[in-house]
Amino acid sequence: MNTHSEIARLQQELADRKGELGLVNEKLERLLELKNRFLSLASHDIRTPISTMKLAVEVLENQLQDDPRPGLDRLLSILSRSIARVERRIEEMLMIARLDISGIKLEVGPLDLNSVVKEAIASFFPSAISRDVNLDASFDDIPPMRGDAQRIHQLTSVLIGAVLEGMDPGLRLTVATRAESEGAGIEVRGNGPPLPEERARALMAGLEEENPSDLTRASLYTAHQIARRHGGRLEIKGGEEGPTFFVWLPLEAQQEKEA
Amino acid sequence: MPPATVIRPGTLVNQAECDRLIQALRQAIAQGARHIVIDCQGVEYMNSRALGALIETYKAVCAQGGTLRLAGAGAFVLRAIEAVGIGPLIDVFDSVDEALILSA
Repeated sequence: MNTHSEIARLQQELADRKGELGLVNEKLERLLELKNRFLSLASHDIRTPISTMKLAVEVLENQLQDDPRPGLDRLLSILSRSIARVERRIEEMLMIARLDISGIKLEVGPLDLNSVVKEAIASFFPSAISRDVNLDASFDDIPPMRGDAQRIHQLTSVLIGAVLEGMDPGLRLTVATRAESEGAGIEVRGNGPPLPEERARALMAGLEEENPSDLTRASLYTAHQIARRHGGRLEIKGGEEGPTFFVWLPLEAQQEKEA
Repeated sequence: MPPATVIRPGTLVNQAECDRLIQALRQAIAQGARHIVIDCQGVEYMNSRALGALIETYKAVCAQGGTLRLAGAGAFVLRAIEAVGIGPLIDVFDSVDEALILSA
């Protein structure tokens, strides 16, 4: 075999291997996405009955105050602590699921933005109530849109989570959908604590970093990627009154490639 | 069984409307209402403070051996009460009439 044919053979082999690796990589991406979607769904599904158990335990504890039963107090206290532990784990699982940005292609379909945003808000009610943060919302009439409903839910959740994270009891977090020129907007605003303009600019600059240094930046990077892949944009504004995150989305997702 | 107190919140239960709902619930409890029906017909959004108030009301009526019922709740309210854990603990009816008949 001469040198030329040997090189041609090796080139062909390399191309074949590259093709195989591409297929394996695609499969892994898909599996990772499925795993994260399962993680997210499972966390939500577990959290709902856990919230009910927590409430039922509180009602029983109240009733025991008037009618003490030796030993039962202790069991309820153990149950209450165990529920709190599971709740913390679920929050961690949800946080990890929100960071997922695997799956390059969007699954674009009809998108009812208000329904998706309402669903994301509902999933934060337990956290808002336990933190004594008021979670308000308002909804514009949004024309029919096309986009990846699951990713928009994820994006909205990231933004609500990022604002809620730093809020003190008694503060107000407002989520609003807006009918915008040739698109629609989602605004998530907290009335505290203050976000210095400098920090807001740093967060905006951090949206371009592929390996963010902390959890907040990582989650905002994820939100930014989702907005971009729809052909939209994410803006972060600071101020004395607190942070404002705004996402503009086109009525029809433009399937921008991964950055 | 004594008659139920019916409370009707507005379409969007945010801020002022939430204050109004909380005040109505507290007043009902203070006046000794044991059975409360919340007419959710047309309610499109209920904020976290209002949901927290529903939870507190549920605990209060439970302590008196009473009930908290929801009537005519739409998809969002049903999802919200499920998310905060109160969904399986309270009775949900299609209409206020139905909720009142069953509590009579």
